[in-house]
Amino acid sequence: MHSETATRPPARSPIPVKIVVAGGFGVGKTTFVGAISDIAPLTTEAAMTTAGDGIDNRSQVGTKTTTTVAMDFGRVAVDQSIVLYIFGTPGQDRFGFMWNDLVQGAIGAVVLVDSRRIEDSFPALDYFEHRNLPFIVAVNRFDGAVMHSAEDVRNALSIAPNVPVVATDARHREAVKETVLSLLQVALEQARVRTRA
Amino acid sequence: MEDDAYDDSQVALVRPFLTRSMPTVHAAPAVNDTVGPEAAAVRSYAMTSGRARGAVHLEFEAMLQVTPRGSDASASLSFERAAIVQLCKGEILSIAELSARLRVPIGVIRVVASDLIVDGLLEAFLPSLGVAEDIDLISRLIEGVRAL
Repeated sequence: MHSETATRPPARSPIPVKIVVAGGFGVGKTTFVGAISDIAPLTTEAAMTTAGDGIDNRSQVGTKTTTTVAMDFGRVAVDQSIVLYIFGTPGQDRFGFMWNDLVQGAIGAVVLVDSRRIEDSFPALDYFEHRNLPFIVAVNRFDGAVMHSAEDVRNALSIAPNVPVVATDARHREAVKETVLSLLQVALEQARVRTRA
Repeated sequence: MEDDAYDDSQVALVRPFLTRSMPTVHAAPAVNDTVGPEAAAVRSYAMTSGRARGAVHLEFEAMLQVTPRGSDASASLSFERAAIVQLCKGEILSIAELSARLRVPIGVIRVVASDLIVDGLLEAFLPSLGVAEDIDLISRLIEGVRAL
């Protein structure tokens, strides 16, 4: 216990971690990911097969239908061993089934809000509130948009006092870094509370 | 068929993914317009034997590296198995990155990669299970992101 290396076995490297960026269509999730990622954002698709309901156009083809959800993500080498993945995920209600899979093991989530269309963030907010996952709300700046203060957005969305509402600019690396740091601080506080309990 | 209404299952394999970082080994023959959704569905089924899950649970961010055994065996593998092993030879890649680069849905990659781990051809770096309580890891993240 006298040396630092004795207190912790060397972690197997790399250690992957992830955060999720959720929000309505066109709110700037991919831009947000791209601003901090080491690589240009990649797109992946999760195909979900469900029993056909007989009302789709290809019901004559088979009894199953496949829904495809596209996600953009980036990766950041945070230090010599930690690799942070940032997944941008669509916010629609019907993707809720995929979120369970995606957020499993996530450090937390950023709910990105366009203050002109705050209602688009309702499904994501509802989801994370019930999921007991650390999250923050980030209001993305848009050129020409009427800016609402963070407090206005908090009131309009009925966001709990312990959830930070921050302003961000998905186009700018420093702003995105600050937003991610805000989330990580919330995650750290919650981890401290959990380990104390 | 091509003029039919919007068709999700076809999109899964046909929609152009980002074309950078193309794999050196081509996983699947290019899906063209003559392949309908039935064929795509059959293909996914064949790759995974219809399984939705593999024996090893792999999160989207789980990272994979080829083992020496996998390196030796790579010439004898085919299709997705070969493509995954080939990509993971050069660098350590996540399930999500393999899905993006090979243009194969994430669920299929998960099952095939799980098989490769069970066969000893890949080893996985899995995310910490107790990340919500891992003060040390979160602190290191904060430090690292601040320094970016």
